[in-house]
Order: sequence, then C-alpha cells, then structure tokens
Amino acid sequence: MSIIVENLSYTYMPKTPYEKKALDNLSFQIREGEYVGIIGATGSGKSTLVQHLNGLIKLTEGRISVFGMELDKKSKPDYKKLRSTVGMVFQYPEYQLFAETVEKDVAFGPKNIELSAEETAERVREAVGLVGLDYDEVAGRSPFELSGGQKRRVAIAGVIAMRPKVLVLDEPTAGLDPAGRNDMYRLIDKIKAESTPTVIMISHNMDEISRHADRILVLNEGRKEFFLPPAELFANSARLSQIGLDIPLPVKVAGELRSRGYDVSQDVITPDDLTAEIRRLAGR
Amino acid sequence: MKNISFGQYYPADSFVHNLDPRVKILLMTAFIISIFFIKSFFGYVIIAAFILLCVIFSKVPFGSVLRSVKGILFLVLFTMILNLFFVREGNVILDWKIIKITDYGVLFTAKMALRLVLLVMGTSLLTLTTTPMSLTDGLESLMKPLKLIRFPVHDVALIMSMALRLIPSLMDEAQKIMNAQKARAASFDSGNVFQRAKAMLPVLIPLFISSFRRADELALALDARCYNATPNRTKMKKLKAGWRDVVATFVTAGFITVIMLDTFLWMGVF
Repeated sequence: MSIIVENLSYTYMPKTPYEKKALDNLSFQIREGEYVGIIGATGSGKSTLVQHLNGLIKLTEGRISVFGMELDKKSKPDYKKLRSTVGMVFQYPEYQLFAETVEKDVAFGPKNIELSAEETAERVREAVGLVGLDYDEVAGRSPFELSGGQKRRVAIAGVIAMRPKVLVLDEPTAGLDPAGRNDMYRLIDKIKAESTPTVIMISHNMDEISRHADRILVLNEGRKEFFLPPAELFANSARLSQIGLDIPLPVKVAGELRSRGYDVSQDVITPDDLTAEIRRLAGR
Repeated sequence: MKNISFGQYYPADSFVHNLDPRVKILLMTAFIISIFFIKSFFGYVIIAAFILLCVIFSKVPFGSVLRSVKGILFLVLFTMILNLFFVREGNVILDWKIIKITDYGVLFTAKMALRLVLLVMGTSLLTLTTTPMSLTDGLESLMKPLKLIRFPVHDVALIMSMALRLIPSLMDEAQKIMNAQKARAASFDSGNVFQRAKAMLPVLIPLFISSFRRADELALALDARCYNATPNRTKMKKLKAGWRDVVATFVTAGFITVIMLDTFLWMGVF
C-alpha cells in the first residue's frame, strides 16, 4: 500500500463561531500504480483531504502513511522529502508561476529539495518535454508570455520535475474547453505511464473522471460515501444523486433502457460502451 | 480565512450588534473624547462599568475583547515605565540611586495605563460587533455633509468598501499561492531575515499579478453595468435608527454626564 489513511478527521477554526468539520473519520488505502478519482460536492472536504497528504495541513486527528512516511499528531516529518514524494498540482496552477523564465520556474522545486545543478537541469528538460512543450523554444521565455494552456503545462512540469511518487491534481481541467480537457487527461495518462505511476485526481466532472480513474472516492460532508471502481459505483446512482452528484450520461441512458426492459450490461460507462451495447441489442 | 471573518468581527445577534452603525460610530467617538476628560479613579470605574455593560449586551466573550488589548501591551508597558521613572512631582516614595518614584507618579502611571487599555477595549468592541461593510456604510452616511464642499463622499465610500472586500480575497489568494509553493518544497520559515524576505518573492510576484487582474476585472464589471457614482443611488440595506439606538444613546449620554460631573463639579468628592 502506498498511501494509508486511518480515522482522519479535521475541523477548521475549532472553538470559534466559524468552526466547521471538514473531514470526519476517514479511512482508505491507495495502491501503488492506481489512478484514484476524488469527487464530492463543494465543501465535501476534497481539498482538505489532499492537503493532508503532503503536510500542508497539519494533521490533528488520525494517521496517514505515505510511501513509508508516517504522519500523525506528534510526528515532525521531513517536509522537503514528503513534498517531493507527493507532487501536488493546485487548481489553476498557472497562477503560481513567478520566475523570469520557464526554465527557472520549473527548477524551483528541484532546487528547493537541494539537487545539484546538473541534476536540476536534466530534470527540468525532461519535465518540460513530458508536458508536451518544446524545451528549446520555451525554456528561455517568460512564463507570462505563454498561452493559458501552456502556462498550466509549465506549472505541472514544475511539480513533476521533483519526480514525485504520487501526483495529486486538484481539478486540473478547471476553466478549459472540451478539447483542452481531453488534452489534459491525455497528458495525465502520459505522466502516469512515464514518470509518476500513482495519480490522485480531484474532479467535479463524474463523466470524465469515471472514464479515467480505476477507483473513485466519493466524499459527502467530510465522510467517505463510496470508494469503488466506476462500474460498481454507478450501481448506487440513487444515493449519488441524493448527495448532489451527477452520474455520467451513458450510465443514465443505460439505466433508462434497463428500466424499459432492455438487457443492457451494468458495465456501461463511456459513450463507446453504450453504442456497443445498443448495437449488440439491435443485432448489428 | 473564509467568509467575512476578516478583521475581528464576532458574529452574534445582540443588542449591540443590531445598533445602527452610524449611532455606534458617533457614540464611540463621544466615548473616546470623554475618556480624555477623566481625572479621577472614580471616572475610570464608571467607564469600566460602561464597557462591561456593552460587552454583556454584545454577547462577545470577554476573552475576545481582552485579546485586542494584547496588541498594545508593549505600548502600555512602555508608557508605564516612562511615566513611573520620569514624573518628578509629588512626594518621593522610593529613592534608589538614579531612580526616583513619587506617589503622584504611581497614580499618574496607573491612570495612563487604564486610559489606554479602556480606550482600546472600547474601540475594539466597535469592530467586534460591526461588519466592515456596515462600518463603511455608516461612515458614508456620516460624511454626507461633506458633499456640500464637493467632497466625493460616494466614491470614497466605494473605494473603501472595495478595498475591504478585496482584502479577504487577497488573503485567500496569498494562502493558496503559499501552499502551492510549499508543495514545491519552498520553506518560508527558515534562514535569516534576508533569506526569508527573498523566499517570499515566489508568493509576492503571483499575488501582485493576480491583484492587478482582479482590479482590472472589477473595473470592467463596473463598466459593464454602467456604474457611475450618481448622487441619487439607492441602497439595498437602508440604515435605519430604531428604539435600540435611542436606548443606547441615552445610556451612553448618562455615563458621559456622570464623568463630566465628576471632572468638573465633584472633583475630589470621591
């Protein structure tokens, strides 16, 4: 198990009128090489949860183990090691760019974990290439001259240049058009295959996340509602809509067909699955 | 740092919270002025009783009010020491080498410290019970007479409320950017002063850029809604003084009268 979370609870601003319970006795495990989606309505604790994984929020209740590093109430982990192990890409990561050149910005992380100049240069070149940018073309340019999509890629490169063991992304497709969203998912698949085998992604979009994730963690008011592979998850579609979550359109259509007496498979998730099933039923 | 928790506003539904902000500001001003008239300890007892009454009727925990004093503790101690050692009038009660402390000095020091502490407690009660927005509304309404001399009251109020509105957003943003840089293994709490200042650059640069972006967006949004500070704009929340304000005014006036009587008529009686 690469990540183990046990009985994690967290309360914002305790003992004030603004007190809010963000996480409530959360326990789960993530295997190495897994692609995990985290989904939940606004305020369900998704961001609070992932910020515990790299120690941005200090743990107050429960225990977390990340690739052998133990976090609990008393532990003083090696934050540099922890944060280079858990690479975290925040929402709208392009707003964190600051350096005068792309190269310097991507090198920020590697430099902070005190890598040698050669090692840093090598990793920067590799990371910029991995996110689909031409190193020779962009390295010397200011990140602020780039387009929105390119900026976001530079920001992601800045995280993977630390060669984390797990990549955590908080809504990496926010604010992108459909084509941009597809590109982003393709990029994440590529990063997963070539550099960071374990991926955790927060998403609002059940349609998209269910097409990519191996398992989906559903949070509701800080509690774990489900942690299942997409196909099994959508067997609980009634409960999902009850807690304010959408189910993918193909799953909805398949359910409607089933309720009208057609024998549609339970495994339908993507539009392609659905077309295949309809073709099969139509006998073509 | 979410919602409106900027400053030190303590949300509650109380007599003091529901006062008209204009009345609160005016009464607070009267309160501050009256503190400077006090000459006897009896006056301070009266003012302390007044503050206690306000705190009780504001439902704000006493600890929150005291916490505001913590910020000026150093100032209080500093003035106390200065006064204690440098007041030369009165009978000497301690004479040791160069240190001379007089009985008058001790009394004077105590009064000065009381004055500062009570002043801060009173004013912080205003910000504890009034949201920044209604404070601005109140100030705008109170500044209305300045329109006669062509002072752009409405614009100033708009600028103030926009600034107040942006502070929590920027604090939020700063926190997010700090987290993003921390996630890239940046550390902000190691090294000497210069190293720390330099470590803040990766936070300050994106923050500057984003505040310009926000300002630009806000200006466009104002333009898109054809906003201009016409003199006859109406308000969504109209300020209205009610029975509470009358009660509060009379109570405050009563306390201030006692203080004035104490200072000018009963001197030395108590």
